[in-house]
Amino acid sequence: MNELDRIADLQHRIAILEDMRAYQELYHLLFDRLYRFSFSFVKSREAAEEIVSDVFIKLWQIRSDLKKVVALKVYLYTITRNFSINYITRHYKHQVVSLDGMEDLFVASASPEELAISAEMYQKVQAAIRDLPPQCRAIFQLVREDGLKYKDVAAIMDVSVLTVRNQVAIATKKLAAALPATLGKRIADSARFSHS
Amino acid sequence: MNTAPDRLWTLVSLQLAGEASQEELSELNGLLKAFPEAVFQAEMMKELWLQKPKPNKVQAEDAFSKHLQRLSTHLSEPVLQYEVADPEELETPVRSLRTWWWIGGVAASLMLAVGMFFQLRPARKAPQQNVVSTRPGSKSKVELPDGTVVWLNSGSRLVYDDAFNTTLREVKLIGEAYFEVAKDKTKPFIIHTQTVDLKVLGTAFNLRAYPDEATTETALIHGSVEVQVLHNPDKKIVLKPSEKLVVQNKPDLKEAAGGAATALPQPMISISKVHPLERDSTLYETSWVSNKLAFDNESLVTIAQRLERWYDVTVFITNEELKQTTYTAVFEGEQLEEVMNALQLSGGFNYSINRKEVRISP
Repeated sequence: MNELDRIADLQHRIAILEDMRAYQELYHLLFDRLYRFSFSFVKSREAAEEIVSDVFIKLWQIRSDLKKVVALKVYLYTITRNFSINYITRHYKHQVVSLDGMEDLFVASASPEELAISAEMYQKVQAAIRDLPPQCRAIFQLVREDGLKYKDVAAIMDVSVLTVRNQVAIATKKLAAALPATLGKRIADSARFSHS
Repeated sequence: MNTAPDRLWTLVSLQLAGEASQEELSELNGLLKAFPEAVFQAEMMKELWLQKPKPNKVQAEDAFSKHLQRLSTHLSEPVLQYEVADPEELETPVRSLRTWWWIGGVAASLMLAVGMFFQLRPARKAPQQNVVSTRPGSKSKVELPDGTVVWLNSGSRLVYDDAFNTTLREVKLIGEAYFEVAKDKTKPFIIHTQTVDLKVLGTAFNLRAYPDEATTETALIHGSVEVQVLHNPDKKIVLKPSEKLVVQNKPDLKEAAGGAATALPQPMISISKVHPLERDSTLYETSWVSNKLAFDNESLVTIAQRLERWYDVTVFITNEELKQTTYTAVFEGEQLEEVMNALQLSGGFNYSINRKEVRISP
């Protein structure tokens, strides 16, 4: 079952059966992504976690109307954004910016070695992502991490599809600038990349 | 500033996002041929792009338990949304029922009085109540307006009003019944008992909720039901087929019903598997539907309660030790004497039957 079907199934079970297990499963499926998405706005771990919690409280409160929600994932991202913006508006004066939370943006199952990237280069890529303007970073994150379509991201971020397209292009270009044109002695390895 | 490299990265981003058109893809290929030094970077970009962050499971677990606490404090609405009554209405009947049942061994007629109390409440439009009940010693099968079939065991009562099958299908059950709920996803079928509420769509299950018994049992045969435990509103349990949920009605009720105080404390809520009869496809939980009286390692005091309902008699056990001896047996169509003889043989007790009274002594 692909992820969208799985989400639709969980949505149905929550709406019709008020199934707590389905609710928990959905939480676990989406927590990480919503948390990181919220973090890109609020820049506080505690706040991001609380916002995701608020999103799921809302989800439980409206469970009987869930049948009408067409794309639940997009909907959840949208209210996560709204809640995050509300939070910033309320807490703007006390906003504490921490940079470490986003460090693991590219942390994945593969180590830098497996990626054929040097540790130094890895740091550079991380820094390039951190330096992206917040909206650009949020859009890039939705597209790259969650594989959302441009029109969905546009709906979530309340911008045009063209803006999404431009922001993703800008982010890609800035990242590319952080990549070396060649990898010195490893250039010979580049033969394994085909570009047909 | 649409220099070739800028355009190239735009095309790479479209490709990786899965948003590139056929024309854009061939344009990208052309550009990569024109700028071979960008090929390596483009491949690196693809690898970076495909690396998804590893979800932090521990953090998610941790966050979820915190979330559940916040959820329960946030819920100002009644946990069950189908409870449309205002808080006062919600509270009164529940309290009355609990009070009655707390006294223990309440006659069904008193329960009816509670039912009428609902009807007579002046502020509320009194819906016409339909009551199906069985006397001790008899069983009955009813078909509800929606096509649901209910087998009602002895000494049980099923109540529903005229609103049944309009937006919801709501019934109250006192006693034991086997339900085969007609499928209708748009109208949830809800059963209220003193200890649990059940919400189902289309399914078959046995629900045993006698007020004078220590536990309320839900045995699911197929389909899916959700059980809401009333004195623990945070507890919602979704049963899978062949699962049985046993909820203690009230810890102190066991003693009131004459159970031994020495017995181990039972968990408030437990889930187990339904129990098939030997050499038979029927289950202990639903054997009564096919007129079988089955005891599954049950104590004599529990068996006595069941005999009282099954045969409409009163059973006295004069010896405390005897009450806790256990029996496993299946009877089909036997007279009370035959059942008593069989139990006597394995249990080594004496008994006498005098009209509607059974006395068991060492």
